[in-house]
Amino acid sequence: MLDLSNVDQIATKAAAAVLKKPGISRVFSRPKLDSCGEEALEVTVVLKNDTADEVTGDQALDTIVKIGWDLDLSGENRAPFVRFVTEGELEAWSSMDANGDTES
Amino acid sequence: MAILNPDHFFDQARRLVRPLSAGAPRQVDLRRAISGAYYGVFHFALTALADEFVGKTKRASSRYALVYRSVDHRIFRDLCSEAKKPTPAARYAPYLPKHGFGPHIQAFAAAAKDLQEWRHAADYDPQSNFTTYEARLAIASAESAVMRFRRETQERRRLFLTLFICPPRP
Repeated sequence: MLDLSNVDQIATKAAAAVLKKPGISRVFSRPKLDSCGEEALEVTVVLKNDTADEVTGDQALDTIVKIGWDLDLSGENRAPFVRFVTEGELEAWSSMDANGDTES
Repeated sequence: MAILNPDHFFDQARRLVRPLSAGAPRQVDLRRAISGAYYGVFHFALTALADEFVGKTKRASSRYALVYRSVDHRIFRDLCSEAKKPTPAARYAPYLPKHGFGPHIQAFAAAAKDLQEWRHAADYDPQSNFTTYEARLAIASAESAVMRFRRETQERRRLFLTLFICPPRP
C-alpha cells in the first residue's frame, strides 16, 4: 500500500501523460471503502476550466486505465476509482446546498 | 424480449445533464445520468453474452432470457476487476491469448468497474456529490467503452464473454 503522496504523484504523471493536450490542473486522492466494503482509492483528476471540454471519452478511458496500471505496477493493491471535475466545479462544491445543488 | 440499446441509455443520460433554465442540472438528474451510463454498458455486455451463447436470432426465446439474466453486478465486477489489470490472476492465465485480454477489453473493463462504483454511489450514497462535468464524462467514457469492446478481436471478445459465465475456480 502506497502513501497518498506517492499515489498522487503516480496518478498525476499518468493523467498528465494521457491528457497532454487539454492539460490537467492537478490530481488528488483519498482513501475510501468501495461499495463492497473493500479498501480503495478515490482519485480526482481536476481539469482546467478552459480546456476541460476538449477531453474525449477515449481520453477519459485511457486515463482510468493508465492510472490503474501505473498504481498496480507500483505495488498499490487498492483499486483506484477515478473521477473528473473542473477547477470551477471543485470551488462550487463548497457552496452546495443540502440537496447537493448549486442553483438558487 | 426487449433488447435495451446502450445508445438509448446514453441519449437519456445526456438529456438529464442538460442545464435547466434556472441553472445547473439537479443532483437527482446527475445521479440518474451516471447510473444510466453504467446500465448502458452493463446491458450491452449482457446482450453480447446472450447473443454469443444463444444467438441473435433467438432473442425471443426463454433460453436467451435465462442467459441474459445469469450475470449479476457482482459477477460483472469480478471479471472486470481482473480483465483491467496488466496481469490478471494466475487462474486466468491458461485461458488468455498472447498479450492477455487486449487493450480494448482492458479499457472496457476499467470503465465498467469505475462506472459501477459511481453508479452505486449515485444510487445509494447521500454523502456523494456529483458534478455536471463528471456526469458528462461518465457518459462519454461509457460510450467509448462500448466502442472499444466492439473494436476488440472476436477471439478476445469471446474469451471475455466465456469467462463471464464460466469463471475459473480460484
